Amino acid sequence: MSLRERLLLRRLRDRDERAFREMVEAYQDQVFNLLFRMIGKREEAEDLAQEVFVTVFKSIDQFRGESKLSTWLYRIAANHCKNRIKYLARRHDRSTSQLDETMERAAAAQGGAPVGAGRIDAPDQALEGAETERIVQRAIADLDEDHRLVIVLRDIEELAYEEICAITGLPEGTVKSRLHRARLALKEKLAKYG
Amino acid sequence: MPDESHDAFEADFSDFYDRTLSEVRAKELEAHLATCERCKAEYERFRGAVGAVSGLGRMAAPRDFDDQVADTIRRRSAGKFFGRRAFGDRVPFEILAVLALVVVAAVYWFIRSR
Repeated sequence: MSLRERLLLRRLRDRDERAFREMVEAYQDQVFNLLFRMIGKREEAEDLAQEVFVTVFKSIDQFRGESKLSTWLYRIAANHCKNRIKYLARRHDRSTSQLDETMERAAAAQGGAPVGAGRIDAPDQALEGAETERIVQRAIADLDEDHRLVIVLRDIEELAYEEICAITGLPEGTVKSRLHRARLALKEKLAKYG
Repeated sequence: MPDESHDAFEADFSDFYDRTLSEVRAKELEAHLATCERCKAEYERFRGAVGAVSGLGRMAAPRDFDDQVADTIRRRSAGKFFGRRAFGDRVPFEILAVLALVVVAAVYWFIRSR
């Protein structure tokens, strides 16, 4: 933890509103991006991001500063995500038919080629289309939550293995093998959606 | 080549992609990919899938997000959360009790010594 973070933490513990706003502004996009990629819905991600920061402030006195502030935030966000995913699964809150239509349109626009095979050889080109982005997002959403978390932390947030271990509480070997399985599963899902 | 060999190479795709594979093993895999069409195609699909995820745009929180969070915290705490806490809130009770004892002892010692 850097000196700057320690000073910020001290002000946060004093319930200094300016410090609170500094922290939210510094980390809101990271937290929001993680939540959006995990949940796949903007409104849910916004609601959940608020809950993450509310939890941070409720439990700021319990944070001992043994990890980076961002690691702690990611850990809280990951826990909230898991709970929300379970809750949404119970509600069957997944607009599958809408997403299927989106994928059909995207496949037709690309000449019916599988998204994960061939057409995605040049990811930069493929990702130019919002439709393709939705398909990739859908493939992520179809992974089980543990796979989704490691793939989002590593391949989207670009975190080091060390930090992913600190967030998930898993040993490095487990994180690596889980990430490998997640990437293979993602490859198969992208191929299937084509 | 037996299927197990292909599987063994596939098991290293992630480390190969992350460039965390040992130099010797990476060279073995490169040589295999140069001659095995099946594994080469699989690795290209693997690389394409991971690249597609990495290439997703970054989402930003709403502009007034900090105001929204501050409002939520104020509402839920009935306005009591923010604001500098009193000295008694910031210093643990045990330390205050010890300090009080020290002061009482000092006053007692001062009175006795006169």
